[in-house]
Amino acid sequence: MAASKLKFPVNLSIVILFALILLSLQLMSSATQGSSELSDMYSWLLIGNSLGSIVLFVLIAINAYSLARELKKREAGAKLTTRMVSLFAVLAIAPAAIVFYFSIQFLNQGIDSWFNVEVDRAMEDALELSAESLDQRKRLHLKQVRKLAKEVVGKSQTLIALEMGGMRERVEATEIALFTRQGHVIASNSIDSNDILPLLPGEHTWLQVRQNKEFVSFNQMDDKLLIQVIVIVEDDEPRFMQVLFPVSERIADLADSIDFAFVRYQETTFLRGSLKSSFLLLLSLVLLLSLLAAIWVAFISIRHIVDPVKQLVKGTQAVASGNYRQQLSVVSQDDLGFLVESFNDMTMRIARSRDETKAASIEVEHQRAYLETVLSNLTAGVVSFGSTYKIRTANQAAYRILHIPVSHFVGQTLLDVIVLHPQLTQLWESIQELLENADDVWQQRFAFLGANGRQELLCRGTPLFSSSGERVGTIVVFDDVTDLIQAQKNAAWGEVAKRLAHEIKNPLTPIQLSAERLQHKLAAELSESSAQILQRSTQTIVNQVEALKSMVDDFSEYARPSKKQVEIINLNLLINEVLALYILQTGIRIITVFSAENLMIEADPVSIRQVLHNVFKNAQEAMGGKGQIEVKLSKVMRNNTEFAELAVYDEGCGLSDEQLETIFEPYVTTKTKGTGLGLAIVKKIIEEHGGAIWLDTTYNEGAGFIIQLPIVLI
Amino acid sequence: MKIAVFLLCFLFYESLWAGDFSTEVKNVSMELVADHYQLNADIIYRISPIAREALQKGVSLTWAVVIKTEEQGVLWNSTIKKLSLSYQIQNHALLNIYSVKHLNSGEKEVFSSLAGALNSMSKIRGLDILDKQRIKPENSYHVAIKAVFKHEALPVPLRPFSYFDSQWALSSSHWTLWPLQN
Repeated sequence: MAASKLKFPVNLSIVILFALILLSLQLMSSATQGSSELSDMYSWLLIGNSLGSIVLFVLIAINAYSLARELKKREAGAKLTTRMVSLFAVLAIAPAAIVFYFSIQFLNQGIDSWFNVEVDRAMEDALELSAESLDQRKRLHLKQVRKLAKEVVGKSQTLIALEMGGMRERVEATEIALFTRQGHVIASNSIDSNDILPLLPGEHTWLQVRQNKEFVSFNQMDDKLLIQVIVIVEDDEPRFMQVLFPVSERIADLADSIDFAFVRYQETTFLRGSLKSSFLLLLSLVLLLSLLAAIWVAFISIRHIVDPVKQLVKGTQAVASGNYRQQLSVVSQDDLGFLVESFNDMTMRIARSRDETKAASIEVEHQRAYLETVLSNLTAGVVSFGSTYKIRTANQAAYRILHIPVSHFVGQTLLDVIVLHPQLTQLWESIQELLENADDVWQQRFAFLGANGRQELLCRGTPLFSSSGERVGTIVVFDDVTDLIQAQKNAAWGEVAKRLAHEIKNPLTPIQLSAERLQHKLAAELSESSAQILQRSTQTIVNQVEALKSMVDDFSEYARPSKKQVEIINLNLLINEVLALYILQTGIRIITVFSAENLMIEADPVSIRQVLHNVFKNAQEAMGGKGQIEVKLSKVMRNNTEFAELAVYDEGCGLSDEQLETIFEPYVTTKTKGTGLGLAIVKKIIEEHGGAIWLDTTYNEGAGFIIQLPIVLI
Repeated sequence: MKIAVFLLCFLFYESLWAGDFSTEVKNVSMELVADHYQLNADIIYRISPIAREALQKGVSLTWAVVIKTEEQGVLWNSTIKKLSLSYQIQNHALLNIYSVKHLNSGEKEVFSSLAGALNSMSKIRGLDILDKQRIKPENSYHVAIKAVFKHEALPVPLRPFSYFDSQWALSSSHWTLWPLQN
């Protein structure tokens, strides 16, 4: 804004330029006429105007070059500017050239008309007449002086000096003088008594006198015209007599006037060609300067006119490329200015509309991001499906629960996921079937063998409908209820164990005591055969009671919290200690692959030792006392926490699919002996220590158990 | 190429034909009279046919004899005094005389012939150019003389073209230098 205020107005600068050019040309015109003091500045004015023309030419050349570059770059408004400048130049040059041609013709004819033969002859005749008149006077005075010269022949210098005054008065001369042959003054007499020295002839005059013996010419003395006559005095010693005759003022004035007029005429005649050339030069310079100035002004004016159009084109291009905030400066209040204002109004509206849309879009995006944040922070997995059962969104919890990056399969169906993750085939197929067939909200529990063992999901599917009632997809929310169900089972089994301990173990002691008492009291009274029967029966009762007690003790063990005395233990060391008992047994080969560093855990050593015994014993029994057990201990990261991972692989008969699902539940066993609580207790202890145990389903040579326990950093 | 060579030859021929009409400074001498340096010199004016015709037709011709006394320096000379003697010669057709006007003094002399007029202009005798007091004994000095034809004194229509016409190149082609003895 400030810059535009400071910018010199173009119109004013054009007016000033033309005023300067006109002034310069007027000065030069005045100088050409030679009637003013400006004629002294003629050359400088010529140089100044020529330099002005050169400057204008350079400016035009720069503008033309700039325009050519703009044309090459296909800049906005370049073609329009070129067209307008070309048109303007043609319109300016054509009439100017015509005027120039006819002006030159007119000038030549005008100058030629100044001169003609009659005037020449008249001037020459006038000059000749005047010259003849003056020559007559010169001849007359020459005669007079010749006569005087003869008079002094033979006279002495003294006598001549005495007679000189009379001689001068007699011929009405101004001055008379007698010179020696060498030019020295012998005697002189002047009308002015103050003039002691006579007029001394010049060197060249003496030369002429010596050659021609006489000399007649006009001379000037004190601005007065004189006729100077010198003749030789033929004596023994030749001498020279000089007489100066006055010319009357009237004659002198007339002669001066004629001389002046003739000289002017002669000069003009001589300068005829130069005059034409000079006018031609002046006219050419005027034309050149005017045309160059006009073309330069045309450049500036047309650029000034085209500028808003150029701005509009640039603005339109900017809007086309998405810059809706483009505002153009309104430089004039004419039609173009109105157009620019309309453009600005339009872009402002578009920008406002765009901003509103953008704001709405940002709001929607924020809402979506918020929803996504909520969804990702949900513990439940949420997967939305489109109308063609393709996955549209999946939250973080879905990955955490299923251990599959479901969000990577956006745009694909569940059947496509099966190809890459076949372990969840049954689950995906069930959900896919429900998606395709369920018309209403559905809820179902699915159990499957996941990467970390058996998992149970509680799934709830809700169909999504658009505002027009059209079904647009389904949203499936699922939760991992494995731990919940396990906890429920554990609680139930704990309660059963407690009740068993309470309800069964209490009557067992009286039963055992009663049986022993019966044996003790009745053995002596019965016959030998009856006593033997009693002996076997009471023994059976006692044995079964002992067995029941043992079973109840196991249940008590299962129900009792295992985390008794927690301390930091070296797991590597503990495993080695336990394994030492099994290495000694024949038929069993144990391979250990341990991590280099010692893995420290915070746990009850007795419980962990029991876990290890149970696992190794299980492996040993599964192989029937022969085979290889591979024990691996390593450090792994899970959920940003370091865990010690113990993997135990045997070469036993392995587990059936049915067993895989229930292996960690109480009363599940493949052995003929045992309560089936071993692995249930192991799982309980591990979970009470913040760890996890699962079957490695990828291992098919036998059974593989993986135990993870959190590492303690010391 | 051939045209360019032809033009060059033509121009060269033209310049030869045109001749050298530059004024010449000759017979320079210096006298020390009463602690003043006085200059004697002859200026030989050569008038080209065109200039002669112009003079006959009434155009007055003007020369300025520029006399500079310069102190010689290491890099450049410094002018300590500059004189200019201007002469204007004019023909009077009616009286058939030539007048020589000394523009410095305004004095006017008339001559019955052009040779006489030019002869009067050519003699510079006993021109007081410098006081000896202004001369430093340790420095070197010289007098530079040049006759400059005044194009700007010509009639306006003739002026611009005279600068480009060898017939009007009537100035001295160079400065004539004369040492000033201490």
